[in-house]
Amino acid sequence: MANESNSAPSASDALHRPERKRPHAPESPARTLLTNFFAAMSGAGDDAEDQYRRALTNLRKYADLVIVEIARSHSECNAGDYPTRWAHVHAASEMRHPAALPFLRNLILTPIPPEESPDPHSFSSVGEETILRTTAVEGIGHLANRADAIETLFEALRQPSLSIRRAAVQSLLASARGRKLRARIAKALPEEQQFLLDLKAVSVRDVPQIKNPERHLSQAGRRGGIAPAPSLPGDEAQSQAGNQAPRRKE
Amino acid sequence: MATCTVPTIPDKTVTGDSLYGPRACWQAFIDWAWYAHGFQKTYWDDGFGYEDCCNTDLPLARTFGAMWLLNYSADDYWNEEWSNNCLHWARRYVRDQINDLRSLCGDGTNIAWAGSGRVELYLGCFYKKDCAGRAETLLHESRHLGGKPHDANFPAGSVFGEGKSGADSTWGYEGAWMYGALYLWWFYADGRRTTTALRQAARQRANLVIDNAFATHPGFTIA
Repeated sequence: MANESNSAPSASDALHRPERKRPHAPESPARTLLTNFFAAMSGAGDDAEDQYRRALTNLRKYADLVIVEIARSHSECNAGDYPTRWAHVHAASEMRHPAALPFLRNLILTPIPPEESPDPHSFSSVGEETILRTTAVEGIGHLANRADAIETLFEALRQPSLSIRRAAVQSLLASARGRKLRARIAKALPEEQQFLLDLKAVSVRDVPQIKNPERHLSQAGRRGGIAPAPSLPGDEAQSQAGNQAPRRKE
Repeated sequence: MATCTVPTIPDKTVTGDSLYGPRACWQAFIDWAWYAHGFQKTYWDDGFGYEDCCNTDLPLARTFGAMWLLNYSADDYWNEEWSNNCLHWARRYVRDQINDLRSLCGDGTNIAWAGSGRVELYLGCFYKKDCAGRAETLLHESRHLGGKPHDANFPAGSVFGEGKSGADSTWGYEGAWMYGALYLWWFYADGRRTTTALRQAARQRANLVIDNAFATHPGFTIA
Protein backbone atom coordinates (compact mmCIF):
# COMPACT_ATOMS: atom_id res chain seq x y z
CA MET A 1 0.00 0.00 0.00
CA ALA A 2 1.39 3.40 -0.94
CA ASN A 3 1.37 6.59 1.06
CA GLU A 4 1.82 5.21 4.53
CA SER A 5 3.10 8.65 5.44
CA ASN A 6 -0.05 10.66 4.81
CA SER A 7 -1.57 9.81 8.15
CA ALA A 8 -2.70 13.19 9.41
CA PRO A 9 -4.95 13.32 12.49
CA SER A 10 -8.21 11.77 11.48
CA ALA A 11 -11.29 13.86 10.93
CA SER A 12 -12.74 11.06 8.87
CA ASP A 13 -15.60 8.65 9.49
CA ALA A 14 -15.44 5.07 10.76
CA LEU A 15 -17.11 2.03 9.22
CA HIS A 16 -18.05 -1.08 11.15
CA ARG A 17 -18.76 -4.54 9.78
CA PRO A 18 -21.52 -6.39 11.54
CA GLU A 19 -21.47 -10.17 11.81
CA ARG A 20 -23.97 -11.46 9.30
CA LYS A 21 -25.14 -14.96 8.72
CA ARG A 22 -25.87 -15.77 5.13
CA PRO A 23 -29.53 -16.68 4.67
CA HIS A 24 -29.88 -20.36 3.98
CA ALA A 25 -31.35 -21.02 0.57
CA PRO A 26 -32.78 -24.46 -0.01
CA GLU A 27 -30.74 -26.48 -2.47
CA SER A 28 -32.49 -27.50 -5.65
CA PRO A 29 -31.53 -28.13 -9.26
CA ALA A 30 -33.16 -24.86 -10.25
CA ARG A 31 -31.21 -22.98 -7.61
CA THR A 32 -27.98 -24.50 -8.91
CA LEU A 33 -28.82 -23.41 -12.45
CA LEU A 34 -29.56 -19.88 -11.28
CA THR A 35 -26.40 -19.71 -9.18
CA ASN A 36 -24.40 -20.91 -12.17
CA PHE A 37 -25.95 -18.20 -14.31
CA PHE A 38 -25.10 -15.49 -11.78
CA ALA A 39 -21.53 -16.78 -11.65
CA ALA A 40 -21.33 -16.79 -15.44
CA MET A 41 -22.57 -13.18 -15.48
CA SER A 42 -19.29 -12.20 -13.89
CA GLY A 43 -17.06 -14.66 -15.70
CA ALA A 44 -13.69 -13.60 -17.05
CA GLY A 45 -11.37 -15.23 -19.51
CA ASP A 46 -11.49 -16.23 -23.14
CA ASP A 47 -14.40 -18.62 -22.69
CA ALA A 48 -16.50 -16.35 -20.47
CA GLU A 49 -19.02 -15.57 -23.19
CA ASP A 50 -19.41 -19.27 -23.98
CA GLN A 51 -19.96 -20.06 -20.31
CA TYR A 52 -22.58 -17.32 -20.09
CA ARG A 53 -24.38 -18.69 -23.14
CA ARG A 54 -24.27 -22.23 -21.74
CA ALA A 55 -25.65 -21.11 -18.37
CA LEU A 56 -28.40 -19.22 -20.17
CA THR A 57 -29.24 -22.21 -22.33
CA ASN A 58 -29.67 -24.27 -19.16
CA LEU A 59 -32.02 -21.67 -17.68
CA ARG A 60 -34.13 -21.87 -20.82
CA LYS A 61 -34.08 -25.66 -20.86
CA TYR A 62 -35.64 -25.83 -17.40
CA ALA A 63 -37.53 -22.55 -17.64
CA ASP A 64 -40.63 -23.71 -15.77
CA LEU A 65 -38.59 -24.72 -12.72
CA VAL A 66 -36.11 -21.88 -12.90
CA ILE A 67 -38.71 -19.13 -13.00
CA VAL A 68 -40.20 -20.40 -9.74
CA GLU A 69 -36.75 -20.22 -8.18
CA ILE A 70 -36.18 -16.73 -9.59
CA ALA A 71 -39.46 -15.53 -8.11
CA ARG A 72 -38.72 -17.17 -4.74
CA SER A 73 -35.17 -15.89 -4.54
CA HIS A 74 -36.13 -12.40 -5.74
CA SER A 75 -38.82 -12.12 -3.08
CA GLU A 76 -36.22 -12.93 -0.40
CA CYS A 77 -33.78 -10.24 -1.54
CA ASN A 78 -33.33 -7.20 0.63
CA ALA A 79 -35.56 -4.60 -1.05
CA GLY A 80 -32.65 -2.15 -1.24
CA ASP A 81 -30.26 -4.67 -2.76
CA TYR A 82 -30.90 -3.41 -6.27
CA PRO A 83 -27.94 -5.05 -8.04
CA THR A 84 -28.99 -8.53 -6.86
CA ARG A 85 -32.63 -7.89 -7.62
CA TRP A 86 -31.65 -6.66 -11.08
CA ALA A 87 -29.73 -9.89 -11.70
CA HIS A 88 -32.93 -11.86 -11.08
CA VAL A 89 -34.93 -9.69 -13.48
CA HIS A 90 -32.15 -9.86 -16.04
CA ALA A 91 -32.13 -13.66 -15.80
CA ALA A 92 -35.90 -13.86 -16.27
CA SER A 93 -35.75 -11.43 -19.21
CA GLU A 94 -32.89 -13.17 -20.94
CA MET A 95 -34.65 -16.52 -20.72
CA ARG A 96 -36.93 -15.22 -23.49
CA HIS A 97 -39.38 -17.89 -22.48
CA PRO A 98 -43.16 -17.63 -22.01
CA ALA A 99 -42.78 -19.13 -18.53
CA ALA A 100 -41.15 -15.86 -17.44
CA LEU A 101 -44.07 -13.70 -18.54
CA PRO A 102 -46.13 -13.82 -15.29
CA PHE A 103 -43.11 -12.92 -13.16
CA LEU A 104 -42.13 -10.03 -15.41
CA ARG A 105 -45.71 -8.81 -15.72
CA ASN A 106 -46.19 -8.89 -11.98
CA LEU A 107 -43.08 -6.76 -11.47
CA ILE A 108 -44.15 -4.17 -14.02
CA LEU A 109 -47.62 -3.84 -12.55
CA THR A 110 -46.38 -3.59 -8.97
CA PRO A 111 -46.51 0.11 -8.06
CA ILE A 112 -43.12 1.69 -7.43
CA PRO A 113 -42.74 2.39 -3.69
CA PRO A 114 -42.41 6.05 -2.66
CA GLU A 115 -38.97 7.62 -2.86
CA GLU A 116 -36.83 6.65 0.11
CA SER A 117 -33.94 8.98 -0.52
CA PRO A 118 -33.96 12.50 0.90
CA ASP A 119 -31.79 13.54 -2.05
CA PRO A 120 -32.93 11.67 -5.16
CA HIS A 121 -30.46 13.58 -7.32
CA SER A 122 -27.73 11.69 -5.49
CA PHE A 123 -29.54 8.38 -5.17
CA SER A 124 -33.07 7.52 -6.14
CA SER A 125 -34.85 4.39 -4.97
CA VAL A 126 -37.54 5.21 -7.53
CA GLY A 127 -34.82 5.25 -10.17
CA GLU A 128 -33.52 1.85 -9.13
CA GLU A 129 -37.04 0.39 -9.05
CA THR A 130 -37.59 1.85 -12.50
CA ILE A 131 -34.49 0.12 -13.88
CA LEU A 132 -35.86 -3.21 -12.65
CA ARG A 133 -39.08 -2.55 -14.52
CA THR A 134 -37.56 -1.30 -17.78
CA THR A 135 -35.46 -4.46 -17.82
CA ALA A 136 -38.63 -6.49 -17.32
CA VAL A 137 -40.41 -4.60 -20.10
CA GLU A 138 -37.61 -5.42 -22.51
CA GLY A 139 -37.83 -9.05 -21.41
CA ILE A 140 -41.48 -9.06 -22.36
CA GLY A 141 -40.52 -7.36 -25.60
CA HIS A 142 -38.49 -10.45 -26.46
CA LEU A 143 -41.77 -12.39 -26.36
CA ALA A 144 -43.74 -9.90 -28.42
CA ASN A 145 -44.58 -12.49 -31.05
CA ARG A 146 -47.26 -13.58 -28.54
CA ALA A 147 -50.55 -11.77 -28.09
CA ASP A 148 -50.37 -11.93 -24.28
CA ALA A 149 -46.96 -10.28 -24.31
CA ILE A 150 -48.27 -7.49 -26.54
CA GLU A 151 -51.18 -6.91 -24.17
CA THR A 152 -48.80 -6.82 -21.21
CA LEU A 153 -46.76 -4.14 -22.97
CA PHE A 154 -49.93 -2.10 -23.36
CA GLU A 155 -50.52 -2.55 -19.64
CA ALA A 156 -47.03 -1.17 -19.11
CA LEU A 157 -48.04 1.94 -21.06
CA ARG A 158 -50.56 2.68 -18.32
CA GLN A 159 -47.89 2.81 -15.61
CA PRO A 160 -47.14 6.33 -14.40
CA SER A 161 -43.47 6.25 -15.34
CA LEU A 162 -41.87 7.89 -18.35
CA SER A 163 -39.10 5.29 -18.55
CA ILE A 164 -41.45 2.30 -18.30
CA ARG A 165 -43.60 3.81 -21.02
CA ARG A 166 -40.55 4.56 -23.14
CA ALA A 167 -39.35 0.96 -22.85
CA ALA A 168 -42.83 -0.34 -23.67
CA VAL A 169 -43.16 1.92 -26.72
CA GLN A 170 -39.78 0.80 -28.00
CA SER A 171 -40.64 -2.87 -27.50
CA LEU A 172 -44.01 -2.52 -29.18
CA LEU A 173 -42.61 -0.63 -32.15
CA ALA A 174 -39.84 -3.21 -32.53
CA SER A 175 -42.30 -6.09 -32.65
CA ALA A 176 -43.41 -7.65 -35.92
CA ARG A 177 -46.74 -5.80 -35.64
CA GLY A 178 -45.09 -2.54 -34.60
CA ARG A 179 -46.22 -0.34 -37.46
CA LYS A 180 -49.80 -1.51 -37.15
CA LEU A 181 -49.81 -0.82 -33.42
CA ARG A 182 -48.65 2.77 -33.69
CA ALA A 183 -52.10 4.35 -33.57
CA ARG A 184 -53.11 2.27 -30.57
CA ILE A 185 -49.90 3.24 -28.77
CA ALA A 186 -50.56 6.91 -29.48
CA LYS A 187 -54.04 6.56 -28.01
CA ALA A 188 -52.64 4.99 -24.85
CA LEU A 189 -50.09 7.74 -24.21
CA PRO A 190 -50.89 11.08 -22.57
CA GLU A 191 -50.61 14.10 -24.83
CA GLU A 192 -47.37 15.36 -23.28
CA GLN A 193 -45.65 12.01 -23.84
CA GLN A 194 -46.54 11.49 -27.49
CA PHE A 195 -42.90 12.30 -28.23
CA LEU A 196 -42.02 8.80 -27.03
CA LEU A 197 -43.31 7.52 -30.37
CA ASP A 198 -40.68 9.55 -32.17
CA LEU A 199 -37.63 8.75 -30.03
CA LYS A 200 -34.85 7.37 -32.16
CA ALA A 201 -33.18 4.18 -30.98
CA VAL A 202 -29.62 4.89 -32.04
CA SER A 203 -26.02 3.83 -31.65
CA VAL A 204 -23.74 5.81 -29.39
CA ARG A 205 -21.73 6.69 -32.49
CA ASP A 206 -24.72 8.63 -33.82
CA VAL A 207 -25.28 11.02 -30.90
CA PRO A 208 -23.43 14.26 -30.17
CA GLN A 209 -20.09 13.57 -28.49
CA ILE A 210 -17.92 15.87 -26.42
CA LYS A 211 -15.53 17.74 -28.66
CA ASN A 212 -12.21 18.30 -26.96
CA PRO A 213 -13.10 17.48 -23.34
CA GLU A 214 -9.76 18.93 -22.31
CA ARG A 215 -11.40 22.37 -22.42
CA HIS A 216 -13.74 21.14 -19.68
CA LEU A 217 -10.94 20.64 -17.21
CA SER A 218 -10.47 23.01 -14.32
CA GLN A 219 -7.31 25.09 -14.23
CA ALA A 220 -5.75 22.63 -11.82
CA GLY A 221 -6.88 19.71 -13.96
CA ARG A 222 -5.29 21.21 -17.05
CA ARG A 223 -1.91 20.98 -15.43
CA GLY A 224 -2.33 17.21 -15.62
CA GLY A 225 1.03 15.56 -15.49
CA ILE A 226 -0.13 12.37 -13.82
CA ALA A 227 0.97 9.27 -15.67
CA PRO A 228 -1.64 6.91 -17.12
CA ALA A 229 -2.45 3.66 -15.37
CA PRO A 230 0.21 0.99 -15.75
CA SER A 231 -0.08 -1.23 -18.79
CA LEU A 232 -1.66 -4.60 -18.26
CA PRO A 233 0.83 -7.44 -18.23
CA GLY A 234 1.64 -8.28 -21.84
CA ASP A 235 0.52 -4.91 -23.23
CA GLU A 236 3.68 -2.95 -22.45
CA ALA A 237 5.00 -2.94 -25.99
CA GLN A 238 1.69 -1.78 -27.52
CA SER A 239 1.02 0.94 -25.00
CA GLN A 240 4.44 2.44 -25.56
CA ALA A 241 4.27 2.17 -29.32
CA GLY A 242 3.40 5.84 -29.72
CA ASN A 243 6.65 6.89 -28.10
CA GLN A 244 8.98 4.14 -29.11
CA ALA A 245 12.66 4.92 -29.55
CA PRO A 246 13.70 5.15 -33.21
CA ARG A 247 14.91 1.99 -34.88
CA ARG A 248 18.31 1.81 -36.55
CA LYS A 249 18.25 1.09 -40.28
CA GLU A 250 19.85 -2.22 -41.13
CA MET B 1 -16.74 12.13 12.88
CA ALA B 2 -19.60 9.78 12.02
CA THR B 3 -19.71 6.05 12.52
CA CYS B 4 -21.63 3.80 10.15
CA THR B 5 -22.11 0.13 9.39
CA VAL B 6 -21.48 -1.88 6.23
CA PRO B 7 -24.96 -2.46 4.78
CA THR B 8 -26.12 -5.60 3.02
CA ILE B 9 -23.52 -6.36 0.38
CA PRO B 10 -25.07 -7.15 -3.01
CA ASP B 11 -24.02 -10.35 -4.77
CA LYS B 12 -20.50 -9.59 -5.94
CA THR B 13 -20.82 -11.67 -9.08
CA VAL B 14 -23.64 -9.33 -10.06
CA THR B 15 -21.92 -6.04 -9.21
CA GLY B 16 -18.72 -7.08 -10.93
CA ASP B 17 -16.70 -6.96 -7.72
CA SER B 18 -15.79 -10.62 -8.00
CA LEU B 19 -14.45 -9.88 -11.49
CA TYR B 20 -12.78 -6.50 -10.98
CA GLY B 21 -11.70 -6.90 -7.34
CA PRO B 22 -9.00 -9.50 -8.04
CA ARG B 23 -7.84 -7.60 -11.11
CA ALA B 24 -7.40 -4.41 -9.11
CA CYS B 25 -5.57 -6.27 -6.36
CA TRP B 26 -2.33 -5.63 -8.19
CA GLN B 27 0.25 -3.59 -6.34
CA ALA B 28 1.45 -1.60 -9.35
CA PHE B 29 -2.15 -0.54 -10.04
CA ILE B 30 -2.89 0.21 -6.39
CA ASP B 31 0.21 2.37 -6.08
CA TRP B 32 -0.69 4.26 -9.23
CA ALA B 33 -4.39 4.72 -8.37
CA TRP B 34 -3.59 5.91 -4.84
CA TYR B 35 -1.29 8.63 -6.10
CA ALA B 36 -3.20 9.57 -9.25
CA HIS B 37 -6.49 10.30 -7.48
CA GLY B 38 -5.19 11.81 -4.27
CA PHE B 39 -6.34 9.19 -1.81
CA GLN B 40 -5.39 9.99 1.76
CA LYS B 41 -5.01 7.31 4.37
CA THR B 42 -6.95 9.27 6.95
CA TYR B 43 -10.09 9.08 4.80
CA TRP B 44 -9.77 5.41 3.89
CA ASP B 45 -8.85 3.76 7.19
CA ASP B 46 -11.09 3.11 10.21
CA GLY B 47 -12.90 0.32 8.42
CA PHE B 48 -13.07 1.80 4.91
CA GLY B 49 -10.42 -0.60 3.67
CA TYR B 50 -6.93 0.86 3.98
CA GLU B 51 -5.83 -2.01 6.20
CA ASP B 52 -7.35 -4.63 3.86
CA CYS B 53 -7.24 -3.03 0.44
CA CYS B 54 -8.15 -6.12 -1.60
CA ASN B 55 -11.22 -6.99 0.46
CA THR B 56 -14.18 -6.28 -1.80
CA ASP B 57 -16.52 -6.11 1.17
CA LEU B 58 -14.97 -2.72 1.89
CA PRO B 59 -15.15 0.66 0.14
CA LEU B 60 -11.50 0.96 -0.90
CA ALA B 61 -11.33 -2.27 -2.88
CA ARG B 62 -14.74 -1.50 -4.41
CA THR B 63 -13.35 1.85 -5.53
CA PHE B 64 -10.20 0.28 -6.93
CA GLY B 65 -12.39 -2.17 -8.87
CA ALA B 66 -14.33 0.71 -10.41
CA MET B 67 -11.07 2.45 -11.28
CA TRP B 68 -9.78 -0.69 -12.98
CA LEU B 69 -12.94 -0.75 -15.08
CA LEU B 70 -12.54 2.95 -15.86
CA ASN B 71 -8.94 2.51 -16.96
CA TYR B 72 -8.98 -0.71 -18.94
CA SER B 73 -12.38 -1.05 -20.63
CA ALA B 74 -11.34 0.33 -24.00
CA ASP B 75 -9.79 -2.25 -26.30
CA ASP B 76 -6.73 -0.03 -26.82
CA TYR B 77 -6.99 1.61 -23.42
CA TRP B 78 -3.59 3.27 -23.75
CA ASN B 79 -4.93 5.45 -26.56
CA GLU B 80 -6.49 8.13 -24.38
CA GLU B 81 -6.35 11.06 -26.78
CA TRP B 82 -9.08 13.65 -26.19
CA SER B 83 -10.10 13.20 -29.83
CA ASN B 84 -11.01 9.58 -29.17
CA ASN B 85 -14.34 8.46 -27.69
CA CYS B 86 -15.37 8.79 -24.06
CA LEU B 87 -14.51 5.17 -23.23
CA HIS B 88 -10.88 6.09 -23.91
CA TRP B 89 -10.51 9.52 -22.34
CA ALA B 90 -12.78 9.26 -19.30
CA ARG B 91 -9.97 7.77 -17.23
CA ARG B 92 -7.73 10.67 -18.15
CA TYR B 93 -10.39 13.25 -17.33
CA VAL B 94 -11.01 11.67 -13.93
CA ARG B 95 -7.39 11.44 -12.89
CA ASP B 96 -6.64 14.97 -14.11
CA GLN B 97 -9.63 16.32 -12.24
CA ILE B 98 -9.69 14.47 -8.93
CA ASN B 99 -6.78 15.15 -6.65
CA ASP B 100 -8.47 14.52 -3.31
CA LEU B 101 -10.74 11.49 -3.05
CA ARG B 102 -12.41 10.67 0.27
CA SER B 103 -14.75 8.04 1.61
CA LEU B 104 -17.36 8.98 4.18
CA CYS B 105 -20.55 7.55 5.61
CA GLY B 106 -23.13 9.92 4.14
CA ASP B 107 -26.73 9.29 5.08
CA GLY B 108 -26.72 5.68 3.89
CA THR B 109 -28.13 6.37 0.46
CA ASN B 110 -26.12 9.40 -0.73
CA ILE B 111 -23.75 8.62 -3.54
CA ALA B 112 -21.19 11.38 -3.86
CA TRP B 113 -20.37 15.06 -3.65
CA ALA B 114 -17.84 17.24 -5.45
CA GLY B 115 -16.54 20.66 -4.61
CA SER B 116 -13.53 22.64 -3.49
CA GLY B 117 -11.31 20.41 -5.58
CA ARG B 118 -12.31 17.17 -3.93
CA VAL B 119 -14.72 14.30 -4.34
CA GLU B 120 -16.40 12.54 -1.47
CA LEU B 121 -17.86 9.06 -1.96
CA TYR B 122 -20.51 7.74 0.39
CA LEU B 123 -21.86 4.33 1.32
CA GLY B 124 -24.51 4.48 -1.41
CA CYS B 125 -21.78 4.58 -4.04
CA PHE B 126 -19.97 1.56 -2.64
CA TYR B 127 -22.96 -0.67 -1.92
CA LYS B 128 -25.85 0.40 -4.18
CA LYS B 129 -23.97 0.67 -7.48
CA ASP B 130 -22.16 -1.89 -9.57
CA CYS B 131 -18.60 -1.32 -10.77
CA ALA B 132 -19.66 0.52 -13.92
CA GLY B 133 -22.04 2.68 -11.90
CA ARG B 134 -19.22 3.67 -9.55
CA ALA B 135 -17.00 4.53 -12.52
CA GLU B 136 -19.82 6.68 -13.88
CA THR B 137 -20.03 8.45 -10.52
CA LEU B 138 -16.32 9.30 -10.65
CA LEU B 139 -16.79 10.85 -14.09
CA HIS B 140 -20.02 12.66 -13.13
CA GLU B 141 -18.36 14.25 -10.10
CA SER B 142 -15.22 15.07 -12.09
CA ARG B 143 -17.37 17.07 -14.49
CA HIS B 144 -18.61 19.11 -11.55
CA LEU B 145 -15.01 19.77 -10.55
CA GLY B 146 -14.52 20.92 -14.13
CA GLY B 147 -16.82 23.81 -13.31
CA LYS B 148 -20.14 22.62 -14.67
CA PRO B 149 -22.99 22.69 -12.15
CA HIS B 150 -26.47 21.38 -12.93
CA ASP B 151 -28.50 24.17 -14.51
CA ALA B 152 -32.12 23.03 -14.58
CA ASN B 153 -34.95 21.39 -12.71
CA PHE B 154 -35.93 17.77 -13.31
CA PRO B 155 -38.74 17.40 -15.85
CA ALA B 156 -42.28 16.21 -15.22
CA GLY B 157 -42.33 12.60 -14.08
CA SER B 158 -38.58 12.41 -13.46
CA VAL B 159 -37.50 9.67 -11.07
CA PHE B 160 -35.01 12.16 -9.64
CA GLY B 161 -37.75 14.44 -8.35
CA GLU B 162 -40.03 16.41 -10.65
CA GLY B 163 -39.39 20.14 -10.40
CA LYS B 164 -36.38 19.82 -8.13
CA SER B 165 -33.02 21.28 -9.03
CA GLY B 166 -30.19 19.01 -10.13
CA ALA B 167 -31.00 18.34 -13.79
CA ASP B 168 -29.04 19.42 -16.83
CA SER B 169 -30.97 21.55 -19.30
CA THR B 170 -30.05 19.62 -22.44
CA TRP B 171 -27.68 16.93 -23.75
CA GLY B 172 -25.79 19.71 -25.51
CA TYR B 173 -25.11 21.45 -22.20
CA GLU B 174 -22.39 18.79 -21.80
CA GLY B 175 -22.91 18.55 -18.07
CA ALA B 176 -22.30 15.81 -15.53
CA TRP B 177 -25.37 13.78 -16.51
CA MET B 178 -24.34 13.78 -20.16
CA TYR B 179 -20.81 12.73 -19.25
CA GLY B 180 -22.09 9.85 -17.11
CA ALA B 181 -24.67 8.65 -19.62
CA LEU B 182 -22.23 8.87 -22.52
CA TYR B 183 -19.65 6.82 -20.62
CA LEU B 184 -22.16 4.12 -19.71
CA TRP B 185 -23.39 4.07 -23.27
CA TRP B 186 -19.89 3.57 -24.69
CA PHE B 187 -19.20 0.95 -22.03
CA TYR B 188 -22.33 -0.89 -23.16
CA ALA B 189 -21.50 -0.52 -26.84
CA ASP B 190 -17.80 -1.20 -26.85
CA GLY B 191 -16.62 -2.15 -23.35
CA ARG B 192 -13.96 -4.87 -23.24
CA ARG B 193 -12.61 -7.15 -20.52
CA THR B 194 -16.10 -7.16 -19.05
CA THR B 195 -19.28 -9.21 -19.21
CA THR B 196 -22.47 -9.07 -21.24
CA ALA B 197 -24.53 -8.64 -18.08
CA LEU B 198 -22.55 -5.65 -16.79
CA ARG B 199 -22.85 -4.02 -20.18
CA GLN B 200 -26.60 -4.61 -20.18
CA ALA B 201 -26.87 -3.09 -16.69
CA ALA B 202 -24.95 -0.05 -17.93
CA ARG B 203 -27.37 0.31 -20.82
CA GLN B 204 -30.38 0.30 -18.49
CA ARG B 205 -28.79 2.91 -16.22
CA ALA B 206 -27.79 5.14 -19.14
CA ASN B 207 -31.34 5.03 -20.52
CA LEU B 208 -32.69 6.01 -17.10
CA VAL B 209 -30.44 9.07 -17.09
CA ILE B 210 -31.38 9.98 -20.67
CA ASP B 211 -35.09 9.75 -19.81
CA ASN B 212 -35.03 11.54 -16.48
CA ALA B 213 -32.03 13.82 -15.95
CA PHE B 214 -32.48 16.40 -18.72
CA ALA B 215 -35.05 19.17 -18.62
CA THR B 216 -35.49 18.64 -22.35
CA HIS B 217 -35.43 14.99 -23.39
CA PRO B 218 -32.49 14.42 -25.79
CA GLY B 219 -34.84 12.74 -28.27
CA PHE B 220 -33.04 9.42 -28.52
CA THR B 221 -32.74 6.17 -26.66
CA ILE B 222 -30.15 3.42 -26.67
CA ALA B 223 -30.68 0.87 -29.40
